[in-house]
Amino acid sequence: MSDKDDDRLDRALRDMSRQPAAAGFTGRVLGRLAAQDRTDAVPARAPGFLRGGGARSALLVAATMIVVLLGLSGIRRFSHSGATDDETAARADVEALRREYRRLAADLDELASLDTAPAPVIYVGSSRDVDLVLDLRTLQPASTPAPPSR
Amino acid sequence: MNRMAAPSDSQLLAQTRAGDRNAFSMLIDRHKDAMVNYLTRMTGSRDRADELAQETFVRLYTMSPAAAAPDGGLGPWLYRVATNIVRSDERRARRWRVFWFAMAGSGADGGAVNGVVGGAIEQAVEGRQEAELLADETRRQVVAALAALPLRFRTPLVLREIQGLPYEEIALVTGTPLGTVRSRISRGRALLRARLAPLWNGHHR
Repeated sequence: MSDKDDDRLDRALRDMSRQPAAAGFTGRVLGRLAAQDRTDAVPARAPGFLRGGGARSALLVAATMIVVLLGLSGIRRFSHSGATDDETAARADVEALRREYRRLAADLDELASLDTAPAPVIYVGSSRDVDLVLDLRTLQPASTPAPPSR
Repeated sequence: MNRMAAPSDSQLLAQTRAGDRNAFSMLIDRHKDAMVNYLTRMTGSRDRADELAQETFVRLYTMSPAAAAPDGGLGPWLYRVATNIVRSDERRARRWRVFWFAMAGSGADGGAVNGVVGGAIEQAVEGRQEAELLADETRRQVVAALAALPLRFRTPLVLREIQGLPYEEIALVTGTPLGTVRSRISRGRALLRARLAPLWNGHHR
């Protein structure tokens, strides 16, 4: 790659306009929190995971609601005539949504246990064009020297 | 003169924990533009960025105090959460694409939609100056190329080149060593240059 391309890239990135938050952004966040408060206030009889209040539970509930709402709107959109005549297809859709729900739950577990251990890489140095990095995973263990023969 | 200093992020966060939503509003106001800009460049979509930025702040509010006690300041913590949300969002979007494809069959309406959109674009294009169009096209391609980079390169690249964060802070956000940050930015730039080279070469023949 040439320096010219590098300069063009710098210019292109620099020229990207700043995108500030839209008007009413703060109000919308607070609105979501207020809605969440209302939901939290109701479930005296709700299952335990709804009352826990942990971020993971909240995320799980939000993700599930999004999946179900999107799924319902999608089913409505893609069904051709009122959706009453194809119970089998509807059951398959519901089963697909349940599968997606389980995948999302697995995703959340994975997200929670994201391994943040640093990769075994040592940064050696750099010039304008090259970064020199030593990846320790590629190194072979040193072989044990043979005992001196007599 | 004795001027009252603006409260720090930590002070506002502590007040938020005590139930003060005005303090939380101030926190949002302080960081919202940076978050929306970052997420716009990460996703390539202004609307999506707005939604994901909202989710980031909701997560800040609902996180337990222990989980949301940022060591290196609130900024890097917010970037980290926003990045996790993008990762999760992209994974979910991939699955939904598969799901909808399966439900909708071959997607016969796509051609019609494309036709309408194409017609609208053609109308909009008429009458505009060529130079302006080229600049728009370049911007569009840069945005698209950036949003299409693998997340491990895109995140440090956007944080450095667009958000202007120092390397140390990016290492904090991404949870990777400084050397990895530098090499990923360098690799990300190389990928971007490669993707944009045809566009630039075409314009400079």
